[in-house]
Amino acid sequence: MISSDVIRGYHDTMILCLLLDMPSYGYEISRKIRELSSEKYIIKETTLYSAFNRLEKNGYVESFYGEETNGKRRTYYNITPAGRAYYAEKCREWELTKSVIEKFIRK
Amino acid sequence: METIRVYLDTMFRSLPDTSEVRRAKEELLAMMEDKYTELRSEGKSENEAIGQVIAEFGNAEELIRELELDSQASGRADARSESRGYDGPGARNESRDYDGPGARNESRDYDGSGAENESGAYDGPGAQNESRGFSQTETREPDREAENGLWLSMEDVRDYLMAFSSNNRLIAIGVMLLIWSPAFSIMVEGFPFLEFPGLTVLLLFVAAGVVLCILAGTKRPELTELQNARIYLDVDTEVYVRQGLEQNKSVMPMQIAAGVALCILSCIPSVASESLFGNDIGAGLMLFMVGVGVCLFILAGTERQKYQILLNEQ
Repeated sequence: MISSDVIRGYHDTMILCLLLDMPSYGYEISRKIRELSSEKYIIKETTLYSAFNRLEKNGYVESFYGEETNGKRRTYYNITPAGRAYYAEKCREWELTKSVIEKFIRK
Repeated sequence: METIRVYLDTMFRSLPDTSEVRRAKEELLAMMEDKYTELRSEGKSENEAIGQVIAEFGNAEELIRELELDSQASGRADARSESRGYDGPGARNESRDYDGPGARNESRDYDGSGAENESGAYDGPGAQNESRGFSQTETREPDREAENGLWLSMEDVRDYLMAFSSNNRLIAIGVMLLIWSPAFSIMVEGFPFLEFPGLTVLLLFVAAGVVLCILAGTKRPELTELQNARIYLDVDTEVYVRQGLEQNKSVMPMQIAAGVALCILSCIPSVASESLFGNDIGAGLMLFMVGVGVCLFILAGTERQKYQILLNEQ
């Protein structure tokens, strides 16, 4: 189990990555995170919602209501250009972090 | 499905009815229902699906904090330690970076409303109220994740260490008294007129020993329950605890050695008195020494745990 402190800084990165190619909605993101991490990380609904909320407040994603056949409307999220820039920044940060920490890991 | 709706309603019960909150509730419900639907389509039963949805839902306090603080400090989201990827202490900083009243009011408002008591854990005053009683208000379930943290101040830590130590002492002395109890009775074996006093002394020791063990035993679960929580300490406090642990690491082997030595040497009075006085005094002295030895063992064995619990090293 990954410690929540460790993964805390990368929720945004994970979500934005999954929005790079197409918009998506809450549960689909949650499911993709689970699948892409091979079940090694399962994001909690509260964490996910908090992240969406924050990303939207910062202008990195925008939300819109999509059509739903069963009458309920679903919130979809779309990445913004600012979001793409932030994502690139986070990727750089991770590469830097990784290169630093690797120096301290003895194999 | 209804269960999920009720679960969310309960969680949101004490929150104001703002559009922000309503939106959060709507979105969370949608996510949970989608998950439920998928789990059912995978063949899981209604109970299994609901169980999994709720278990993986997450930490209500984090969400509540986020909603409350967002409405008070809009645009300061970048001040969040979360995006800095901070670690333990940072998570605490999160609630401190914001306006004092904002973070503190939260734990006051929620006091007494069931599960939300836990939100006190994030915050100076809240944490102190909670940790004074040690786990009296903690109702956390064992499968809740590490986000359920407890911040303890230097004072809380000192209190805890003292409480733990006195608990250890109670047990050690209680056991020692139980071991000592037959000693007097054995020593006066040759004198029939002392039989009744001997018995009285035995029973007194047993009563005292049992009382101490019971007293200590009832308080102990509270103390060890802290190992289920993730403890956050600030730097000074952590250094203090680590120093205590280091000291313990050097002292403990000696305590154990002393305890073992006493138990081995306890044979001497018994052997000596056989040749000098008569068996009985020796046996009494032997019990006395064994009692002290075991007391030392118990103390040695239990002291380290308190440091380990505080440092999340269990």
